[in-house]
Formats: sequence, structure tokens, C-alpha cells
Amino acid sequence: MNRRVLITALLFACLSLFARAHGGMVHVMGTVTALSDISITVETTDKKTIEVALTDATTYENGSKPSTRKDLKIGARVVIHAVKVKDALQAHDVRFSEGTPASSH
Amino acid sequence: MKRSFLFVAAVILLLVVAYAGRMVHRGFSTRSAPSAVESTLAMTLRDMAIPTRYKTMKNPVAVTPEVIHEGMAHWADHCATCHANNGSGDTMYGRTMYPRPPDIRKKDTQEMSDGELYYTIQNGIRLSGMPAFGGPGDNDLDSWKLVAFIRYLPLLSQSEQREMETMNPKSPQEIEEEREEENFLEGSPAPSPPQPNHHH
Repeated sequence: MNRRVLITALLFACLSLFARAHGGMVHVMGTVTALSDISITVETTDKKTIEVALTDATTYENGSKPSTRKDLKIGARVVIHAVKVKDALQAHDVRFSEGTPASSH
Repeated sequence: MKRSFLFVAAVILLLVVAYAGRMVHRGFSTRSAPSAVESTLAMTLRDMAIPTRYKTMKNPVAVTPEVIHEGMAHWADHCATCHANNGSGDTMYGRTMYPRPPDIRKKDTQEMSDGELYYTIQNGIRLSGMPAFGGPGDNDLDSWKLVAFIRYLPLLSQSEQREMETMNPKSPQEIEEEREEENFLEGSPAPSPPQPNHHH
């Protein structure tokens, strides 16, 4: 009986960990390599290329100040929190800085 | 008279059986959103279930910037996990709840009276993800401050949302990831873990 309770508790613990790891926002961190009104392409810090869709609801921050899509430039360091919609990523918020590109490190 | 009553009763029974059959056939997954009929019915019943005196009740707490800020901190800590800091309901949990948390900034919620909002916070909503956060009584000041903040939500600025993010409950791993992101944006070398990371 105790064993069954223990297994059930472990199962719930595993399920909650799974939800935390896979159910939420995807974080994309890297340097902007291409930009349009509808998407942003990022070379991530581990040298992968990821395209994220931009929507009217996407918010932008330059440093810690509210910003707009137009302030974002190729070469900027960026951290994007995105929602996975089917197989695509949709940006929820985009934070960026105009510092040294991450790929130079 | 008796015949027409039986006819109406039979039609209602048939509708109930058909609806129950559809529910069983469709399954009890929360992936889809409730239909318009289901939402309207549930909202109507919920409104009817709120005691009348709450419909005209005003917030007894004077709304000041301090009260708004206290409500904001409370919201970020207790409510934002499902409702989001900005009240949109666009969160990991909110996106697949059944029913979805409403967009608190919109008319349906903002048109509720102060008392109705307070009653909902204190007593929760059955068969939804909304728990009861308080006990009986009308004098829970923290909940009244939340009501004041709910009224403020449509005006929430982006910088206030950022401030709220620092108040959201976080695991040590999330705190570490946030620190790495800040350092990265400030120009530090990139952290070693592979991208993208999934969390919250």
C-alpha cells in the first residue's frame, strides 16, 4: 500500500517537472542575423539559427526601456520569450541591447 | 396541459442526453475552449449565483498609488501564474485551462461590480481553475486591494509589467536563467547551455 502511494507521488512529481520543462515559453538567446516586419532570425549562443515570428502583440524592450520593432537592428544581442504555435515560434516579448554580438565571444 | 408539459420535459431530457453524449464522445480534455453556448450558460449561472448584495457593493478601500502597488504585488505572487501579470490570461496554465481565464482587462470583467469581483476572489468558481482565496466575510483588505488593482489593469504600463516579473514566484533555476539573460544583454560572454531553453 505504502509503495503504491510512493509510486503515485513520484509519478505526479515527474508529471509536474515535465510540464515545467515543456509547457511554457521558449527562450531564445543570441544575435539578430535577419529582420523583417513579421519575423526575426537569431543565431543562438550555440550557433543554431532560429526564426521567430513577430506579431502585433509582441512587446519590445531596449535595455530596460520600452521600445519598438524599429529600434531593433541586425547584430543586436537579443533574448526572446516565445510561444510555440504548432511547429513555429511566436515572440511574446523581445529584449535587446546594442552591445557586442554574442558570436564574437 | 399535462401533455404539453410531458412534451417539454421529453425535449429537455433529450437535449441533456444529447449534450452528455457529446461531452463523453468529445472527451474531457481541456485543450479546446468552451463553446459559446457553454460559456454563456456558465457565465449566466455564475452571475445568478453571486448574492445580490455584492452586485452593488463598492470597494471600501480608498484607491491610492500605494494600494494599487500592494494589489500589484499580491497579483504577481498569487494570480499571475494563471491570469498573467497584465491580466490577459496568456500563460502556460491559462492557455489550456477549461474554461480559459478571461482577459481581465476587457469589458466582461471590468463591468462586474467591485463586490462581484471581491466575491469571486473570496469564493472561487466551481468547475474552473479559480480557487477560493479567502474566507467568509466582506472585510478582507488584501482582496479589496486586488479589486483596486484589477480596475487598474487596463492601464498597466510595460515598465510596471517588468516590475511585476521580479515579484512572480520563481524556482532557483529560473532565477539563475534570468541572471544569465541579463548578463548576456549587458555584453557578458554567452552561457554554455544549449538554446533554446524551455521553462515556466
